Amino acid sequence: MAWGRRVPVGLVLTGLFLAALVIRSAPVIRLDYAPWWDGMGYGYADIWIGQAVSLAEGDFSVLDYALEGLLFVPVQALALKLFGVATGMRVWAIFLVVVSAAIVPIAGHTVYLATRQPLGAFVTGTLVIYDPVLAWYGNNGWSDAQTFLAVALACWGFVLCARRPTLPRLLSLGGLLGMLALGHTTWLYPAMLWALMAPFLLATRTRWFPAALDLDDSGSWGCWARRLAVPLGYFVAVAATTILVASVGHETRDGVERAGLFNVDQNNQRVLVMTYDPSIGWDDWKPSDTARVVLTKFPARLPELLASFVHGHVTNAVHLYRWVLLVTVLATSLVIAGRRPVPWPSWWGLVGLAIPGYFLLVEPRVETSAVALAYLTLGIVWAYIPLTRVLIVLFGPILGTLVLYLPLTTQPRHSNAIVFLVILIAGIAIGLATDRVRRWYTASGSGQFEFGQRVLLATGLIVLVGLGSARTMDAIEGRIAEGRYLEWLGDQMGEDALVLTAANADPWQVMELTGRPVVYDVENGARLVLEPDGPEWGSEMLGEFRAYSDEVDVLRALEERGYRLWFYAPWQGAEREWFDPAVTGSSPPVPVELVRVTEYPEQGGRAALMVETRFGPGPNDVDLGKLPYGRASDRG
Amino acid sequence: MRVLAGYLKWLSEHRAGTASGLAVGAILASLVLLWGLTWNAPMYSSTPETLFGIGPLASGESVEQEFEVAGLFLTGVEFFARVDGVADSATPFVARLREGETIVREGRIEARVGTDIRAIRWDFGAVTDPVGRRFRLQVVVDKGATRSAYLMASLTDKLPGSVVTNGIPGDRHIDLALQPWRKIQRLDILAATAGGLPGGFAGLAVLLLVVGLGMAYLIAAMVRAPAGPGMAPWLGLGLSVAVLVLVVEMHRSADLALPETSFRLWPGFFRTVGLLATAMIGAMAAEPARNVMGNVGREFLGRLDGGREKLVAGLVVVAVLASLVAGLAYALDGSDIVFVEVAGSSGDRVVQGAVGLLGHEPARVSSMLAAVFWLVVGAAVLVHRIAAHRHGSG
Repeated sequence: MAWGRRVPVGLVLTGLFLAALVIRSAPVIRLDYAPWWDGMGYGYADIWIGQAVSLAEGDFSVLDYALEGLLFVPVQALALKLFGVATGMRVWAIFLVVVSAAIVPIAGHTVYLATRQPLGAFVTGTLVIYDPVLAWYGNNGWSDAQTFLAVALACWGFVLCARRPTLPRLLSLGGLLGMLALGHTTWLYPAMLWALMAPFLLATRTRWFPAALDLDDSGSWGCWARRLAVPLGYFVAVAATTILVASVGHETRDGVERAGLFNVDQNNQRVLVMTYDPSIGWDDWKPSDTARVVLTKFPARLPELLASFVHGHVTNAVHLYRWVLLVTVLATSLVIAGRRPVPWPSWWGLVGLAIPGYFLLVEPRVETSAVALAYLTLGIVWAYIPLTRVLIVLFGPILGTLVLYLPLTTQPRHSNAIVFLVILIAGIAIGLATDRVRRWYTASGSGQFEFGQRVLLATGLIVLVGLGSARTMDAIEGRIAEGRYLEWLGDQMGEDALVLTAANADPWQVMELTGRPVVYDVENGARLVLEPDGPEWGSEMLGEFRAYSDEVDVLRALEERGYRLWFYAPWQGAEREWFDPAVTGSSPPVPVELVRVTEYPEQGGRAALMVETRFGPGPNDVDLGKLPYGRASDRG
Repeated sequence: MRVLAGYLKWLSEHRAGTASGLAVGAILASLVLLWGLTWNAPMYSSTPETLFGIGPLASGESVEQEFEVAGLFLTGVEFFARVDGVADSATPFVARLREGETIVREGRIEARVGTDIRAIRWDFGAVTDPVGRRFRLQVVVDKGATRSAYLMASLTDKLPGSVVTNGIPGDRHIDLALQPWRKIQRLDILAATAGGLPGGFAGLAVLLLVVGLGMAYLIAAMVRAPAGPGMAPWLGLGLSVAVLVLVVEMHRSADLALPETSFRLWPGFFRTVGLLATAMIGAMAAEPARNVMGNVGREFLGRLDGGREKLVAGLVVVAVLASLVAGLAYALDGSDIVFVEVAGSSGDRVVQGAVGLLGHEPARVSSMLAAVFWLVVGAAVLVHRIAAHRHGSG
């Protein structure tokens, strides 16, 4: 029957990619964040932009194998080299959106390979689309965009190998793990352990991967080659990149070349040891102290840290987290109901029951239901879904590293790998459960199940793409309106104008449309100055002001040089009345008043704004001693 | 009884007539509810802080403050005052609502004000479309005031501009504490609701039409009504149910600030519609589910040998049910404390989906119980396997 045919998974994955593309585009177009604006004001992306600009100009000395963003910067540099900084940054923004959107079908296909059911792929893709950390750090210019991609590709590569471990696939998996390791020092050891575990796990793949395909017998040589392919691919990728960087890059930083690749994070290790063992000082640290602390001090704190990690980094990073857990438990229940020949776990599965058993009953520190349910769900899926068991083992070193560094440096952008694992587990459980239900349902001789699934998926994809398209169109309209405003603003200014902008602006567009020099992101360090004939990145026009101790003095100095100061911030429904300059980075915040010069006819309430030359008083200049007011002397 | 039975028999034989009757009932109920509908609430969601007093203000002295509102129908403004002295006294104020230099509304209020801070509400004829306009409230202590008055100020700088005392602007962050007010009824409420949607009344009509047709489709599918002209009563029923749900939600939102603009009204509307739709889909899925469950039961129990295996399988079922209860209890409990806030793409918080029907304890205790059941399962499986191994080797 035509309406009972299987759902074309390629169409589902394409739909997910399109949905992700439009949903991820909107905040970037709106400039909630962009490769030059991280959405927070840390300005951390400037490091990579600066290195990419230098690299694009032929300065290879910025390459350093201890660099966070080692694989991120060269690709960014390529975009800047090909298109110049202004256009290149926009091309880079599009590239990051596409890459971040590509993670969605990759995750979906990973689940589909394991379950052969598109519903699991769809749920996985939808959860990844709405992963706020992945969306944000994947597009805000931080190198974590590359790490997210590497984690997703490594999982995909591993599942592809589990399905059919051909030599090219295995070598590619090794290369992908090398890519994960080199992107960020956090992932160096976990990726290496993954590469070392992979041959043993893949050798037993038919026991834990339900959709495993047979491989042609290639003789003992072929068998050994396949066993060694993943670690070999990993080490070749890492070694080749390291040698390349060390040969074309600069002399590595002091001490790093002596420490070697696997000790590049020695300062992190120092702090780690000092945190867990306060008797060790900064200079007392030896590499062996790290191993000692990890083996002796860390285990005692593991239960408490793990609970904090789950509560602080997972439960609050997955939309509808508690419903995701409930559906995962429900889906696993269906898997249990269809389990053959008996409904209880295998020997390996029984180990999983120890997870909730230990943490919920022996450890008294599980105080929140969010953590308790996470352990319970993890234990059940471990017990009954062997593939999730293998994924948990593979992610074990990553989880261990993140929990180990939890008191120090672990941030949501790092822990997103575990969020990704949680989403994969949920998707796999749902996919397998769908497969069971399909079997039971089709046993009744009806094609309605496939039809129902098709309707559900089509509706879901239409809603996702529709919502995303509406938001993107809205964002595009907003940017077009901003363009018109900037052209109008340019007409209001004299030749002596200097435009100070807020962070959520496109500085190159502002200069292009107003024709005036631009001080970009004046509230977060005035990170970029653009002049009509100056460089597109790295002008030192404000260099001399960085040492000032008063922001107002900087503005006065600019005025004394003949500039009239204007202010631009994208329209958000109300006009700014003051701004908070932070050029020097050291002075306390001094809000400076803005004056409406001319009303903008197209948007009610909007105006051309100039900086008030009297500089103040602003909202923070509160003299509470003057309240309540005294009687005014001149009554109206 | 015989009459009731006869009526029920008639209903079962004339389902289209039942649909028409229900639709008419829903429309009548909507009209009755709409007739008694009043929204009487401030237009800002947070009450202004009133920590500082501007004054003492004698007769003839004034305080002014600019403000804007985001919803239709401005019908009043509340400000806060106190006076020197011990007992309450009748203090007259003249209040003016200006837009630029134009006086839009003007009135005299005589309020009993004492040493504690009192909210004074000035009601005036509705300003129908205040959105996008900047108003200025001027409050003057009128002649006849026996004591000096203080009007309360806020430092949170939520309003545009600053407070102006006797024509002299204060610091930019100091505002007169005020609260725009809206008291509207019936059709004005419909107009305000439509005003919060793209396209106004057309948008509201499209929304109700889409939701109503969806409901009609589900109801018709549930009762397996024949397609064709006979569908009309079901369409009417779906549309009237959608309207009724909206009017009920309007009642429930009566004391909220601008429920139509801040998505306070619509989550309730869609939650109720969603629950109705889920119930209908559940009713439709009952038969296929029964089919599936029959297969599961046969497969699950049919493959087990002997009482011991059935006992262990029974323990697994208990542990699974306990886990589902724990999961459901967690889904239904309240929000967690968020230690590390992960902002969404537009600064929104991650939605955990907390329903808030239960406290945290049921989920924690039930997950502990589920863990105990799973450990019992583990122990039983071990015993069973060891026994089976011995039996096999013996």
